[in-house]
Amino acid sequence: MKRSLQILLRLYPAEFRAEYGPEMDELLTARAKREPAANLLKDLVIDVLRTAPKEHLTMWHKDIKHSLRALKSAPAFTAVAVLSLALGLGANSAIYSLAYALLLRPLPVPDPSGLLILQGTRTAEQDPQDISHPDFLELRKTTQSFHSLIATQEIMLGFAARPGDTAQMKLGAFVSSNFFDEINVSLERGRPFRPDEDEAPGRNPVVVISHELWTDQFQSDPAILSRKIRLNNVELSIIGVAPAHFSGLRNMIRASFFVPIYMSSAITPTRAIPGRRDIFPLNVRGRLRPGVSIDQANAEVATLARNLEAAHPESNRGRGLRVRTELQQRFDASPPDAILVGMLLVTTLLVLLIACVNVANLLLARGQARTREISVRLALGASRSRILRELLTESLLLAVAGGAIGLLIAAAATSAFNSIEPPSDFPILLNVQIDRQVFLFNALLCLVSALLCGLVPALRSLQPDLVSGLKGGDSQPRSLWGRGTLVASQIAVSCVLLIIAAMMIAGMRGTLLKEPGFRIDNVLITGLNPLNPDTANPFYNRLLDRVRATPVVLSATLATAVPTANDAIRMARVIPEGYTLPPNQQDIQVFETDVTEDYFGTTAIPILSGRAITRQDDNAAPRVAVVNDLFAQRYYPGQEAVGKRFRMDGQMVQIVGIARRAKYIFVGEGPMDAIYLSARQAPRMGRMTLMVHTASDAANFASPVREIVRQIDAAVPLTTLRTMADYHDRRTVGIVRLLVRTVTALGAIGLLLALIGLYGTMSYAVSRRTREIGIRMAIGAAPASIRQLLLKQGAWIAFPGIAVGLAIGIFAASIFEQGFLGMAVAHPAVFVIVPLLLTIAALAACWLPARRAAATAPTQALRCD
Amino acid sequence: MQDKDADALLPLPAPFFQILVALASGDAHGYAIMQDVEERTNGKLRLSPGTLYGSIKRMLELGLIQEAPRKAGEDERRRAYKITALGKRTARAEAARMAETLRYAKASGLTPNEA
Repeated sequence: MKRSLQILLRLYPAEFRAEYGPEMDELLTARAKREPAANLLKDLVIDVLRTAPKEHLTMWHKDIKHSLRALKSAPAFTAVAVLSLALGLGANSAIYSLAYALLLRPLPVPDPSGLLILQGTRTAEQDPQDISHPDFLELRKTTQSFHSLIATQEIMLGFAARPGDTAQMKLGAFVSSNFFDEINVSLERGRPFRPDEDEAPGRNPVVVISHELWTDQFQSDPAILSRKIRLNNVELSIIGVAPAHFSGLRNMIRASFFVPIYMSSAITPTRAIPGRRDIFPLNVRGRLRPGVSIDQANAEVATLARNLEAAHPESNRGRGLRVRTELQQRFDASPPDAILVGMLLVTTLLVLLIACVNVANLLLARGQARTREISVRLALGASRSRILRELLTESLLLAVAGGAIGLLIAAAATSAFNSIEPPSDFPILLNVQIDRQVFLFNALLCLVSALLCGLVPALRSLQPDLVSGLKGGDSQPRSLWGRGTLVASQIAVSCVLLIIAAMMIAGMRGTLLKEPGFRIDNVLITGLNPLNPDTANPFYNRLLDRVRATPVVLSATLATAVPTANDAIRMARVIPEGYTLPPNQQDIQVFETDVTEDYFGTTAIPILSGRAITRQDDNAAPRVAVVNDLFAQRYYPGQEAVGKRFRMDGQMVQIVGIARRAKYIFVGEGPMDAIYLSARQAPRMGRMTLMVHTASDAANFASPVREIVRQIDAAVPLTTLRTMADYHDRRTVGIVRLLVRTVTALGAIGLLLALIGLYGTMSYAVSRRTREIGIRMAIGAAPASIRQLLLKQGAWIAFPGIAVGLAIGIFAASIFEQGFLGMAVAHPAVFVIVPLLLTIAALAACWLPARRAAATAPTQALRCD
Repeated sequence: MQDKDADALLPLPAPFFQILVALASGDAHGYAIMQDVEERTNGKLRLSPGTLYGSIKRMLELGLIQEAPRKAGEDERRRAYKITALGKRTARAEAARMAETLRYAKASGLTPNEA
């Protein structure tokens, strides 16, 4: 009984207990003598529940009031501390919001994490593959682990709202009929697909459109369900409108329409999906049945994969299945994004660490200044826990204020992130914003930083030597040591940051932007997508002839992608003749572009030896390829690669020329193997990009090109016409510029914070040595020697910090050079300039307090005690 | 006469008023206050410890009561409390306010049940 009473009393704040605990205890003991225990206990429980929270609240209220008063009385300290934390927290929230948008944002469906991906693999390499339609139907029928399965294939199609309208390229998806039911998304209007609408090729021309398509193309027509659209010239009836937030199942890509898979036979007859075992176009997902774990599901699908392999060895040999979560798949799909985001997060956390150390340092200095106040209060009987709580409340208030301002900084940064416009014909949806997740992240970091920067100083303040504390002096020589170490480590961290920033600036400003390896000026590009495969080649021939006949055109070519195109990356699997493949590897993956004649002239990618692809390299001629110098050196070392052959898709391809290496996917990429094949030797030319090199500004040639295409075949959809310069600016320069700015800003913030820290420490050191300085000057020391003395003290803090930072920086440089795929360059100058810059800045931060000290009159200095 | 300090505290929470009444007849420690209130209300109102000491703490801060000087030989742990001048004025003002309230109630025919 007595024990339960004691436990209940512990629910009151410590201070309340210290004050009234014994009396309450006594009172309860007296009552216990004359009342039944159960009665008393019930009484007490109700009492505690009613009054204890109130006592806690009053306590907090008082703490906050007290802390606010304390912070107000030191406005300079408060401003610097809040600003430090605001910069640190703001940078983190901004980068987190970017990471969230790039990698972490869940799919726009209920219970997004429950929607798993059933991924095909090629057992040899575990490299992700999609799934064929017959396999999907069989898996859906047989799986026990999944509630059901859905299949999707994203695709760009020529869209027209009315017959006769010029077609626009839009992205949509072929989906299985159970798509909307299984992902649990209810349509805004209309109905989802019925099972019978997805069982016969081309029979049911129905479509569900996105909310955006409804509002933008149909002005939110209320009678939308009676209207039709055309996709690749096939008319489809609109049966539903998806809700506004639903953008499909691909992160960052907005789908405009959803069509049953069986309609692909009518809409894209050459790439029809149903019934074909030899193509693997479908992305399959599903939700597990209740109680089934991912491991169990993996075990089941492995068996299913083996069954499929046994039943259809010709198409499924070596094919496996595995279950992945959306997040795993995103990391698999874009490791560079994950690396980039990871590095930015690490960098910004370093900035926050500096900010926290800074504030901790300021708090330590303040703690020293408040030694007297705290000693007095302790002497008067205030409890240590009370004072500790007050001091922590203070740092929490600083962190919350910093976090609030930090969110403003983050909001500004996100608008910069959103200004990135990748030049893709895909409807990219980056949408970085400060949402609940970012807010929570920010709040969490506020708490952590409050503890990080508040705890040590608070504990330190609580162990003052009462006697000397009351006298107003301080007798802790070791404290300056601790502070010196903190500042030195801060300088070290910002040294590392600056080295990284400088490396990225060197990397990006340098050769990357100036020499992408292909022509940028006076080139016009546009994507074309002839709907009818039979007439595609004649269409392209007429187009090239007409364009080349125009006086202003110097050369024109067709290619499956322009250099650095991010939405048309093609990889080919080849086996170079005479080259010994590493064990367990069946072929080599290389970057591949199909090109026509004049490609190398138009793009100004030099042919180093041999010849370029010509118009004569067509289906009647032997298959040929141009490879880049890296491919030649790697697979035919020390030999002349021209004349050698490699195997691809079961055919031998002869190398006829070697082209100089260029950038293929992104300027930041490392050296890549690449091959160019003749587009005229492909079974047919599908979607191609026309590139035109003009004698004057390419932009002026845009309308003539549009007119030529219209005259040849008005039904061929054109994607955006733009100049290569514009493309390069958006695809490369814009992104690189933003990255450089971000990292530079982080480095500058880090440096600023470190300098504030150094300045604070030196000011404090000077104030502590005022008496000593006075004596020195009284016995004849010159002001210059005093300045020197203090600068030396500052240098003793700064130089070890710079040295350690430099050492870590050199180590980090090699990691970053690899991790950033060539975007960061460890130029030797970096390791000279950064330490030099830091030394100057550090000495400047010490100079001001030193000058102040030297200017003090000795009499004043001696009196100050 | 208006008493601004005291009026500002009205209406007084019930435990505050009871404690002031208990202390009006002389200094007392917590346990004695509790007993006094309990006896005077025939056991209807019993101040449980949290309420009692929570009230005492706040009343000390407001200056309604103060700690009484310790008498020689008394238990060290036991503190006695004493009503202050402000406390007396406040209790009086509260009593007047309650009387007034009672008068309104009676005037409207809401006489308290005598039985």
